[in-house]
Amino acid sequence: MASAIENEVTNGMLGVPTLTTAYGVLAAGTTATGPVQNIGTGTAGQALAGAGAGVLPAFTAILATQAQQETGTATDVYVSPGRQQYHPTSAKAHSNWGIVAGAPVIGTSLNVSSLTDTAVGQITVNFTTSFSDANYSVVFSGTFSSTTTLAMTLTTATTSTALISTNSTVTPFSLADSDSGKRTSCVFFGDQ
Amino acid sequence: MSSHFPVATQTDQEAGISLGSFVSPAKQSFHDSACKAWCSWTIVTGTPTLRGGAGAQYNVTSLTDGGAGATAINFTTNFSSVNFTCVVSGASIPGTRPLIMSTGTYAVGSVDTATVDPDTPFAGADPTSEVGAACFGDR
Repeated sequence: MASAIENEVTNGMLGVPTLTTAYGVLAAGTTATGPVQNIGTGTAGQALAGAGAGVLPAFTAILATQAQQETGTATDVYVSPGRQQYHPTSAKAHSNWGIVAGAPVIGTSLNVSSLTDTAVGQITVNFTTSFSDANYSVVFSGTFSSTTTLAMTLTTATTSTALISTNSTVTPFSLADSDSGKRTSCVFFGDQ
Repeated sequence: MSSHFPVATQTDQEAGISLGSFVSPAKQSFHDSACKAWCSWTIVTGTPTLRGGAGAQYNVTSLTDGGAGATAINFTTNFSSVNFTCVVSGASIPGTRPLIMSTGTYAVGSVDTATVDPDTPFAGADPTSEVGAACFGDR
């Protein structure tokens, strides 16, 4: 049985023009004694945001999208764990490895599905999620083989792979595998 | 803030998939894509010395001099295992020759770096240029 208040609201006795939006949020009217206003329900994930005195609050998206993270200029949305990595300041991939019995062994990684032993002194890093283009940045350290120091270089970059070479510093232009210490490290920045 | 929009926990950040929680400044660093420690230093009269004051390094409490070309970076908050990534910059003795920098032994609370003269493999050499390091992983 409907209450007296519900009957009054339904029948418009309180000045409500319509309440057709089920579960809608009600706000006071434009004057202290004016009609009730229906803000609605918004959509999933939206929050009710105030707009200041004299303005009806409204439901609005508050979670930063991938595009907003990539632009990095919005100041009215919040970052979620699932979108943080899209900001330009975030590393998109990283890994370190050593070569054991001729094969690369990963120490730790982010967004790296596997390493491929392409040739002596050359490891292909395979990304789980590809970059949007091949113009990403990679930074790496020097490393060691069992007999000498090695300088690392990026040989070929595609959206889904990066071919990393380890170059001998005592025999110029010759390649050599790094040793088993998992200190051959690289970090990637760019757009996914 | 309602329970529909909780603040992201460390676990949420490390998983990196939630779209229903907000990242707070205190938890941002736990994301896999976030740099967990960084610093730069110079060698001053044979001793590695952090450059700058507060804000000039992150999660680095001190450096340890391990001899010529050997500097250990000591973390304020440890990594959860020794399996983390650390990249270090190139180095040089300006006007003389470039040096190769690499990482050495990884521990949860520190990482060794080595600066060597490529003309004399495995011989440590102190750089006179500024050098830097950045570490990524789980802590």
